[in-house]
Formats: sequence, structure tokens, C-alpha cells
Amino acid sequence: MTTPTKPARPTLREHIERLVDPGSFVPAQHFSEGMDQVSEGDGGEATIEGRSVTVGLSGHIVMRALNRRHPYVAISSGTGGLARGGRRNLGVLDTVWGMSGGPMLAEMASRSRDVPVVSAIVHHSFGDSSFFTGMSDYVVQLKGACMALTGPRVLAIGTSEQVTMEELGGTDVHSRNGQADTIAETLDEVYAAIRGFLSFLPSAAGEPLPVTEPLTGPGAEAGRSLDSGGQYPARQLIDSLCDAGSFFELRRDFAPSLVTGLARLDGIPVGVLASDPAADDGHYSADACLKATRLICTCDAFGLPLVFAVDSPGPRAEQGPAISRAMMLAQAVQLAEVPKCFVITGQARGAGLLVTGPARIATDLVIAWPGAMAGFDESGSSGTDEHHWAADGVVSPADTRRALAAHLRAVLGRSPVSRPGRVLRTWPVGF
Amino acid sequence: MSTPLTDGTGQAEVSEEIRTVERLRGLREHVTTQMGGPEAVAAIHSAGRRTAREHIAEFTDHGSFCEIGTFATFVEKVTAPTPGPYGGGIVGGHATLDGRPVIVAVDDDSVTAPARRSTGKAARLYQMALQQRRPYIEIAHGDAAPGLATRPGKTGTAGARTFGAEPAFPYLLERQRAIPVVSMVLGDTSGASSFSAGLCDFLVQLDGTRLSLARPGPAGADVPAGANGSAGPVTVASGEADAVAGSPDEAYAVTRRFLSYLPSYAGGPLPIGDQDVPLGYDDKIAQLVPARRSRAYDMKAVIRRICDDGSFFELKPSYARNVVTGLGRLGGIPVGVLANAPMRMAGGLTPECCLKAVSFVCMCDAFGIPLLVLQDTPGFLVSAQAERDRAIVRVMTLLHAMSLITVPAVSVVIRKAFGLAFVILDGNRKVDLSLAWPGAEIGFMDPPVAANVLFEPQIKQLPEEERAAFLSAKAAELGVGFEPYGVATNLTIDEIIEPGETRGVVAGYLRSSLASRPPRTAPSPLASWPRWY
Repeated sequence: MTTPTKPARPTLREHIERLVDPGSFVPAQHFSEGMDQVSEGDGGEATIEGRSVTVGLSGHIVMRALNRRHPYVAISSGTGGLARGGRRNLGVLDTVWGMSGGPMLAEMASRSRDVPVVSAIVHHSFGDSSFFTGMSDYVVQLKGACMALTGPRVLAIGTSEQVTMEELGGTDVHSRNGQADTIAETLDEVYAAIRGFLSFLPSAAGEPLPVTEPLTGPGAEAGRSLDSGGQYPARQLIDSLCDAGSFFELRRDFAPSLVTGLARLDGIPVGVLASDPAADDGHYSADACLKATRLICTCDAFGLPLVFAVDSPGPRAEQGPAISRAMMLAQAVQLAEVPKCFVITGQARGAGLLVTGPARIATDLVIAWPGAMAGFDESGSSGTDEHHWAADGVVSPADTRRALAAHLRAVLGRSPVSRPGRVLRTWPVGF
Repeated sequence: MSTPLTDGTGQAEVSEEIRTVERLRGLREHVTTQMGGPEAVAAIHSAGRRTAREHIAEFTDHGSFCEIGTFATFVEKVTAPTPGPYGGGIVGGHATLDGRPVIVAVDDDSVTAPARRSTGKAARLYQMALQQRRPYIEIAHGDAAPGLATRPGKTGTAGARTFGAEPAFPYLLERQRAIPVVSMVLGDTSGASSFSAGLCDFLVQLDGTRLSLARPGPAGADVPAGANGSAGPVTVASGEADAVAGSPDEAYAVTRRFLSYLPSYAGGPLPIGDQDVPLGYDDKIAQLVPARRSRAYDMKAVIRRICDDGSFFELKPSYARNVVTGLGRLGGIPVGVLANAPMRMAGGLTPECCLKAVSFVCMCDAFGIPLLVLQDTPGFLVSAQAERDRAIVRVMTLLHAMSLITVPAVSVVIRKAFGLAFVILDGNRKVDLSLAWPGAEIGFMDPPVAANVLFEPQIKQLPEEERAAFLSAKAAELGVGFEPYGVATNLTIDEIIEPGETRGVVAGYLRSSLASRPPRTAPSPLASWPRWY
């Protein structure tokens, strides 16, 4: 580690107090030896912005959140099962399952995205506290903290590989491979990120979205700079389409040709996926397909509409399992039951057209900017030629936000077309 | 049929009806023999390729092909029945493979560049397969033979009226493995005919061909060509291809073989093979596994002895070889085998291994094929590279998949299984039957590593020359607790069995479980998972 000074490491309790609404924390108590021995210290219940959550050490008390049907926030314990139980239970036979986090993992594996699950990596995290991130809807990692299956020490012993914490599982590693959704510089940023992420989601799948008051008045249209067509960098486009300052970006440094995140549009929480013509022409790279699929699954599970802004030549063919990933993304778009809005701002070409999908269900909307091009190969057709592809309308850039908001207001709360089971809920959590 | 009708006057007269039949015959004859025209057929042959109809004739049971959509075309208005570019770039219909009905859809590059073929026709064929609950097989060579590349397709003739209007693609996207889908890539392929490769259950690619979503640019530089030397198609390195074939005939054969283990549809009866096979004690199998824990051996030899003679069919044999996946039979019952391969990195699991296992488990579970897991692994291979390769997510996805299996599953620890790897391969306690051979080690961590980690302070205080002995003593101490009798006491494993009993025990279990399981009422959650990513 190259961190010059090592700040005092907060206890779990201190993390929780700084994360949740003041005074709201009630620790979980575990009784043993009759009622004589009471232990607490692995978390409990609290509120965040007035809504109840369970906060716990790694995945220890995730069951409580699943039973209460509200979010779970895991604070990394910094230790794997070995350090926690290994020394104590050495040679005891019942440890394989328990020490590998088995019971917790079993619960997690069957949760089907019932409640939002968040992981905060605030200490070096190995073993079950890192495993838990692989089953979490959102992972925030503090700079300087390492997240890996196992630590450098075990690595050195087991494989003779000598690496630093940072090289093994630092924020550089996980911002680039997409396993951390947010990188935080400070603990306060970690807490803010958790609160921010949860603010867009209902407490449990199937519950109403946390819609806020629509923006009205002179500020509502401030910063709207989409006065003409042409290319906009993705973040500028998102800022203009969504409520000012509401964009909460996810996995910024992973697959930069696609910008993804959560935002509000006229107060309605949405998932946003915008190809960025400023990064690799907005290609849907193989990693971009992973990036998009994770967000689509999360949004579908928790009922957030999806807004796609498309200006992309399509997938990049030459990287990795390109076809499979593009088809996976197309499947995810197809299978998602939430309203899907597509804004074709520029070109939707090649198999990019497939990835962004045709409108399928009644709550979907496809609008195109004047001059937008869509086509399977070189011979695209202009969006204004509505004969040729199924756009609901050609909308000027300046009117796009209004059109999206009106559509979302109209379809919000509509039950989706019926399909047995919402299958994306059971899809893998990490992509 | 061909007897001329008479009008009773004794004079043969060709009635209107017959003239119509004759016209049909003439057209059909023309379409099926001429295809896209003699020049096009010649160009295909001179490129060393088979026409769509030749593929079908060679691939399907003799005489079984029953065509549909012969006259389909994407030319918008056919005003006269002149033999035009019929077929829409696909020849397809019903056929049988080894007597079992299937639907085939083959790119017809004599008519158009198949990348621009009619997705509507593919959709119709897929829909038929779905309704009649039989496998759907595409033969793709999406780039036209040289000299035919500039022929018009639907894009050229009907603008971009493609995906909104033609529903093929959404159908396949929503397939959720309801019927088996096979994609055979027998020529350079891109565009529409490449899609099924990303959505199928079995992808076989002809060696030396290229498969990509987009056609390579004019220079062809941005897409790696197929086999340069021995590497095989890029889909082998990416793990997407299940098999590589050296010839079209070989591709036909492996496709038949793959389908021979699968039911015709998800939830359908498994194709049971010869049940009259010996299941008695195998006194040779134990000799295949060295007692010394660090000694490598060929797990495939063990698999072949457990499975019915000659029945094991490996999938993705060149990808992530630390884990072996394949289909076989046990007492005639199809079974999916997932096994560690100690020959490769001691059987340690990489992120790629996890993906290979996930994909395989999804396919087996969707089609009701029981799983047999054979464990011999030191665990997940940890390294900085593995972490960069998303080890956490990949490992947890395998755990997730194993936790969702609905098929009968048996796990056997052959020699060693530790920590999370054991928890996961043991199906997160969801396997029906968890077995171990008597020499197996099961514990939280490979004992030598565990001793090193646990006794680090003591080790540091020892003189250098005493450390090794101390460590091996401690590892041996730990190892005692790792004997299978330990984990058998609390039912972490259900039973310790003799190696020689394995085949009989597993086959017996599978028989009884197939007989007693209630029919599936809902599709497996894993049926909807992506095939590969």
C-alpha cells in the first residue's frame, strides 16, 4: 500500500451512524446461552432518508432485510471466513459450509432481486465480504481498499505471486473491470453514494417507485441546451434530458463508449443508457453489453423505466465473445418488462439497431431526432422517412425531454405485458 | 396424380386443374434445381462450398426433407410466376435426423447474400419448430461466395424495412430454451445469419471460417479471419463455439450427436439409450486416480469409465480446459458431466472455467438433463489476473447458477474439494446426492496453504531449515480433519462410496429420480439465462 497515512479504521457502528438517519439505528441482538449472552455488533435496522434498511457486516444479517422486504447494505468486514471462524473452529467438522459463507450465499443466490442489495468496500475485503459484492446490485469501493477473492498473503503462500493490495484488487482494477459501480475518494463519498443509489429504488420489487415532485418553474428548463440536432457527448445529453443534477453515473470507467446510470426525469426514477459518440464512436463494445445488461436487469427488477439514447454504429465485432454479448444485451432489452424509451439521436446502424431493439410492448416509445439514421447496414434510412422504420415520431431535440416525460407519466404504474415470471430477475447479478 | 383426366368423350384433354399442377411442378422443379441460377451455383461450387440444398440432402435423413416457403421472396411484388430469386435466401422445412423430427433453415447464398436473407422466413420456420416442439437448426454461411457478394437482399430491395416488420429476431430472443436450437456455421458468416450463434444451445463452426456480427470492413482488417494456423476460429478462444468441425460432414455428425442427448423440447421425455448395459462393480476405476494428492491424472478417463461405453461427448474441449463439460449416458439416461481436470493447473478454477460451467449448467437444466459433478480441485485459482478478469462476479454467478438447478444432480468428490469451490460444485447444498470417494479431502482450504496461513506467526519464529517440516506436520494435522468421515458426520456429504460403485450408484439414483420426479410445471429459471457472455 502506498497510502502515506493510515487513518483510524472506523468500527461498523461508526460506519452505520455516519450512513443512516441520525438516531435511527437499532442494533440486531443475538441471544445465546439462554438469555444470558447478548451479542450485537454485526448490524441492525435503521432508516435512510426516512426509509427503513438493514445494515450489516458483509452479508451476515441479509436474511433480516429479505424478511422485512427492504434494502440491505453490507459494510465489508475486511475478513474472510477463515479469519473469522478458522482459528476458532479449526478441525471442527461443520465449518466448510459455514466458513465459506454458505448460508448467507444460499440466501443471496435465491433472492431474485427481491430487495435492493448494496455493498460498500471500505476495508480490504476478501472471502465472503468480497463474495457478497458479486451478488449485490450496487458496489461502492473506497480508494485504498482492496477487494479480491483472497488477500495478497494467501496469494503469496499459495501461488508465490507477490502483489500489493492495490494491484490485486484496488479501485484501479475494479473501476476498469466494472466490478465496482462507484469509486469513492472518502468515506463520506461512500455513504453519499449508498444513499444516492437507494434514493432511486423502491424498498422492494413490486413497490411504487420513489417519484419526487416534478420540477416546475423557471429552473425546470434551465440548462436545456439541445437546441439543434447533431452529436452531443453522452453526459451532456443526459444532463439535458434528465432533471438537472439528478444523474447518478454507474461504472464510469468501464466500457466508456456507453454511459449508464440512474436519473430522474420529471421526478420519475429511470435507468439511462446513452452511447457516447465521443468515446470509440459510441460502439457497443463487448464490455458495453455487460455494462448495459446489469443496469437493465436491475431496473427491470425494481420497476424503473429505461431510457436509451442511441447514436452508435453498433457492436464492435472484434472483441471477445462479441456475438454472444450483443445477443445477450438484445435478449435483456427484449425481455425487460418496464417501459423502454429509445431516442435515436444520430445513427442506429448495423446490429446496433438490434441491440437497441424495436419497440415491443405498448409502454415502449421510439422517437428520432430529425436526420437520425437507422438501418441494418450501409443503406440506412432517415428517421424522417417514417415509412421505413417504426418510430413513434420525429421529435426535435428541444422537445425530447418533454416527450419522454409525457410518455413516462402516461405509462407509469401500468402493469407490463404479461409473461410468466419476470425472468430478468433471476438473471445473474454481476455482468 | 399424373394420369390425365378425360371429359368422357374418349379424348384426352388437359384440364385447367392439371395445367395448374403442371405449372407448380415446373416452377418447383425450376426453383429447386436452378436455385439462384447456374452462375450462382457454379460460383458456390467453385468456392468449394455446398449449396443450401446440398447441405440439407447430406445432413438430414434421406428423403425426409419436406420444404416450406419454397416460393417465399422478399421482392415486394411478384406479378408473374416467372422463376425469380425465390426462397428469400433461406431453404428450410421439416426433416428428420436419425428418425427424430427437426426444422432446418439453411442460408441460400445462390439467391442473396444470406446476411440479408429474409428474417421473416426464419421466423416462420422457428415458429413451426416451437409449435411442434422440435429442434430448430440453422446452417449459416452468411457471406456470399466470392462474386455473389453484391446481389440484392431485402435491404437492397425493400429499404430498411427489416426488424420492425420481420419478427424473426424477437422470437429467438425470447426463446428461453423452449426447444433446442443449433447453429452450424459452415462458411464466413455475419449479419442476420450470425444471430442464432449468440442464442443457440450448440454452436459448431467449420474450421477456417469467420463468424462476426458485422461484416469486416473493405480491408477486412478489423475482424480476425478464421483459423490462422492452428488457433481455430476466434469463437474457440472466446468460448462461444461448442465444437469445431474440419468438414461440413463432421459438423453434421456432431450436431446429430449433440441432439441425440436432448429431448425434442424442454420438459419433453429424455431420449433414453440402451438401458441394458452393465452397471456392476468397476474394479479398474480406482487405479485411474493416483493417491498422491499432487499427482495429475486424466479426468476424462474417469468420466468415460463412469459413463456408458463410448457415450461421453465433450463440449468446448479447447476452452478453459481445467474444467470438463460434456454429455454422456449412464444406464442409458442422458447426463451432463461437469468435472475438474487435474491435468490442467491441478484442476484449479479460473473465471473462464466458471463461465464454461454456468453455460453448460443452464443448457442441461433447461432441457431436464441430470447433472453429474466430479470434483477434484484445489479451489479457485487466485491471482491478480483472475481478479482483473472479474473473478468475483464469475465465481458468484456459478454459485448462483448451481443454486438454481432444478434437475436431478449428483456430486462426487473424487480426491479433493475445498472451501467455496466445494460449496459451489456441491450445488450450494442443492444437489440431490452428495458423495465422496474414501480418499477424498474436504475442508475449508487446501491444508498446506491453510497451515501456512494459520501458523504464520509460529513459522516466522522458526529457523529457516525447520519450517518445511513444521508446515508439513501441521498440514497433515489439518488433513486428518479433512477426511470424508468428518464431513459425513454432519451430512455435508451424504455418503462415502467405493470408487468401483460409482457408476452403479449414480445410475441407480438417476433411474429412480426420473421415475419419481413430478413433471416440471414451470420452466427452469436458468432456461432464460444468456448462453454465453
